[in-house]
Amino acid sequence: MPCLLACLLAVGSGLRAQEVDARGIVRRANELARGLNSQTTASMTIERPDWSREMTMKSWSLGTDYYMILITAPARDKGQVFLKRENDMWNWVPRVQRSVKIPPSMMNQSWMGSDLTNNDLVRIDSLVIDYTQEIIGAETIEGYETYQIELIPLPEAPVVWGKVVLWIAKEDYFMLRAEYYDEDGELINRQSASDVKMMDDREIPTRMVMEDAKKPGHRTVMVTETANFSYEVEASFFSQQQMRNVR
Amino acid sequence: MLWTLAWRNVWRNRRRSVLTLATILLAVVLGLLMRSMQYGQYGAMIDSTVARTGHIQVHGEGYWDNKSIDRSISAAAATLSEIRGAAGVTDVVPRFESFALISFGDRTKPSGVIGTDPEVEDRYTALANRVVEGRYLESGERGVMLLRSLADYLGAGVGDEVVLLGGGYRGQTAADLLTVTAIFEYTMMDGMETGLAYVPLDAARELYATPPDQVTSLAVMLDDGDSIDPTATVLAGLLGDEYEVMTWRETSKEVVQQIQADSVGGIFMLAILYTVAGFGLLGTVLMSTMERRREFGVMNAVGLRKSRLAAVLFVETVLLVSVGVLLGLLLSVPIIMWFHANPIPISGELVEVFEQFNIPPYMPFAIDPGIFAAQGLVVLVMALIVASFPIVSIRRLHIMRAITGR
Amino acid sequence: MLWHMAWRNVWRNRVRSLVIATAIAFGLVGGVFSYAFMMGLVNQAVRNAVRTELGSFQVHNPEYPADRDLRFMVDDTAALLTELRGLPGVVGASARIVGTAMLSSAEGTAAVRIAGVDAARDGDISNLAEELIEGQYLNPDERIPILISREMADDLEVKLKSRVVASVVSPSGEIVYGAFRVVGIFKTVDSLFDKSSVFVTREDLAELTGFADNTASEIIVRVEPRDAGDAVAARVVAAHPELLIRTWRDLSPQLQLAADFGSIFGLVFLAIILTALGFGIVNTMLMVVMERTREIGMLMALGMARARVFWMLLYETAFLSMVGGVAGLALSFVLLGYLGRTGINMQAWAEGFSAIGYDSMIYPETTVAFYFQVAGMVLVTAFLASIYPARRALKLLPAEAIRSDT
Repeated sequence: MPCLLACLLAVGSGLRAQEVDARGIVRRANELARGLNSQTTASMTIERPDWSREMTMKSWSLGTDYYMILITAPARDKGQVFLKRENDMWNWVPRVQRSVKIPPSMMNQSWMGSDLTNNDLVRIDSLVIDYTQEIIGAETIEGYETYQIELIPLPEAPVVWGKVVLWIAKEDYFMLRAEYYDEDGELINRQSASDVKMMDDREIPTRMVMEDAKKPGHRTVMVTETANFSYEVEASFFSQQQMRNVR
Repeated sequence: MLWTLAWRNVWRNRRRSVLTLATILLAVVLGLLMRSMQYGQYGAMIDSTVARTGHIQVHGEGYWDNKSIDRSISAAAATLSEIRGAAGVTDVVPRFESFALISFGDRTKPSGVIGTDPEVEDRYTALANRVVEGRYLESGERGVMLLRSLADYLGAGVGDEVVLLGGGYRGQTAADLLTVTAIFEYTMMDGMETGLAYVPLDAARELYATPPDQVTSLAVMLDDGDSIDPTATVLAGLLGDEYEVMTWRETSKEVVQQIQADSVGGIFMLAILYTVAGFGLLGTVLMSTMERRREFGVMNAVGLRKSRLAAVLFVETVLLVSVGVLLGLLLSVPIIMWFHANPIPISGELVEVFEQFNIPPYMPFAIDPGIFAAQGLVVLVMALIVASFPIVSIRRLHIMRAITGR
Repeated sequence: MLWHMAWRNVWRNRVRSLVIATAIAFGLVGGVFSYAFMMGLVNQAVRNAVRTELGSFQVHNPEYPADRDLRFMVDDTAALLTELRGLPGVVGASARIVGTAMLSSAEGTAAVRIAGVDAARDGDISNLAEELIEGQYLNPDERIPILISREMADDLEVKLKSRVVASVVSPSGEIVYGAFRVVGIFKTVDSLFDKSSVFVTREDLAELTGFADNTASEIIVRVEPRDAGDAVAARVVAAHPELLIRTWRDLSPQLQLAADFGSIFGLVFLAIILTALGFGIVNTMLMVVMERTREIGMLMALGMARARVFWMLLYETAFLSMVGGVAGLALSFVLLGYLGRTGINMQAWAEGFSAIGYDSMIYPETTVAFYFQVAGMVLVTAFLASIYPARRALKLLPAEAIRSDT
């Protein structure tokens, strides 16, 4: 009798430990991918069957609540700034000398024509807070051993996915692959990361590909060129005023 | 011989014949007027739809199902002249349509944006008429026309600069500052969550960063509304796979269905009208048959075979009705033509409703030979049916009883 | 005495009288049916709109309608609701939070009007629960229920139990996101309504947007009978000058117009039929007069005043017409009684009908008063029709008349 109880307790706490682990893993991976105090430069290439477009950008971020992105090329888009403060996003367009707060109707629109939506850029913590996480397996990707983690949305979480599956490197917490499914189990989006390189003081995957699983030939490729993780910045930097001045 | 006899019989009882004629006449004239009015209305609805969409529309392949500006097409001079060269084409109206956020001060509203050639647009949809403040757009200027409810929400007026912001061609950002030249009314759009704005075609192309000459649709105007389908096929063949060619019936299905539903109602009422007239006719014919029994009896007795007698009666009725129909047609034609040239003006609140749908506020009458033919035919068929009753009567005629009146 | 004579005269030539009476009867059935059909069509559209969407009248903050900005609220709703429910004729009053939102699924996004309703009381003013084709109505015991239309479900590619995410701008200006589960799918005859309306519980929407208790965006009130709504609305206007009160007529002028148009058209058609019948009656009565020339002559020779002859003929015409009239109305009554219950299935033209917001199942309807009106119209027609034949009778010279054949 006591043994049974003890055994159950052990198993129970083991299970709980595993849950905590999964969420913790996802949190760390999320922070690594999106939410560090950093200043980076990157290039983004949008690929479509008929055309492709490349742009370069500079970004600053403070945790997962604040960031600013400055488009540095091509000429027509140069000088555009996107500012995120918590749940809100602003867009400064030098061509019209105006900054506009992105309304709900635009949140699901693509960001700069890519396969990312404005929503994706704003609700960064979603994977951590809106889902339950469970480790369902392991796989080796690009030479890294990864946890395969299944995320099921919480009943009242404002997310449209039915399920998300992440592959996160066991040691380094790189989010090497992500798959987004709708409620019927159909794959809608796929993300993969590769080209791990040393940036500043750490190793991170520098190339990220987002693919529309329903439209072959539609993808967006983001390549991180430089990164500075010891960047010191205050929340006050992330202001509408600063949008006009940042270089 | 038969005919002369029948004809004289008809006019022997002048009053009755005239009255019967009058009934037929009335039914025919009323029927024609009603149908002419209905067709006139349908014509007006179609005209207003076609003025907006063209008889035929040319888009990029797949545009209709997924209206993205990435599926826009080039309206280069070569393409345009190819289309214009097709038989029956009178004009081609290029448009560039998309969405944008329109912002003024601290207010922003999503809005439809239509880039068009102001002069051509006005020629077909009378857009300039809708302007309530300011001045209508001019080609090539960097101006914008705002829907009244949009302007009110933004707090923007004529002369103010508004920001247009949105997704441009192939992922580029669409952003521009344009000056409000006019504010227009379009009451059908009141209460909708999105606004509407018109800009000159080149301003739209610049805003959305498209290649030059780009359009989302080409509205093709024909000189003859009846040759739409063959012309559409010709154009489809001419233009190839990157384009899709649709007729207005495909792009404005609801209008087609509305007309159908209404037409059914109209036919139904016509049927009632003719049934009533038919009964009236039947009454007259039966009465006359009964009254003339003695006459028939006598004629039969002196040698006129029953079959010939029956034939005479048959012809009498048909003749009478034919005259009625003819007179009805003759009477209707000038009336309809007069109304066709001078449609009845609508007054009061109805005017607004009509203008919203871009239909001029008149009750139009259509001249369509189909109407005349169809109704003439119906009446004649009716006559044939009615005329067969006396035949039955004749067959059952008993000479002696008829003559002696028993 | 005169009546008695007139009545008997009608039946002297039974066949003829029956024929014309039948014509009148059928004509009336046709005309009354057309009118009832139109009324049924139009009334149903009004009823549907009022019962499902608009209510008899609505109460808003005057600044709300421009943009459905949640900031502009109606305060102190509890007291207001009690007051409204206490007014005579009011069968329901319910408060809602209504704003614009974007509704998203994994497959798509749509701009919608989201209404947070009081699930317990909203049924008093809207019969949305009856329009459900799948699932069930909002149940406050469910977590985060939402009702969407079949059309929206198809556009977003979701079904029952699917999750959708709504994003709204709260009164404080920030964007908030809320998940909802589809618990019911509805389909009304108004596809515009379907395309843009979604319903959640007031509690859920209030929690999402930070709406305080005892405030609302709108209050919808339903009054029975429907026509009493305007009077009640007027009372509320007087009592609350700070609020904006709008009846269904204000909210949907097109509906009002359709209603007016429909009834006028129905009456005009009826008048046309009666005119056609009138001719038939004239014809018949002329025959009567012709037939009885001798008899009429004799009556006059025997001392009957011309006036009396005139009236006798008039009564005859009236009786003849009324026989047909009463038969026709009785037949209509029965027919409409049956069809009013079972309805007429316009399925074949269903698409056209629903495109303009009508159901394909039409229930013709009239009022008892209408039958009396028609009876009156028949009498008037009879009177007018009798004038010519009666005058002809009066012009007869008794001496000649006696000597004539008939």
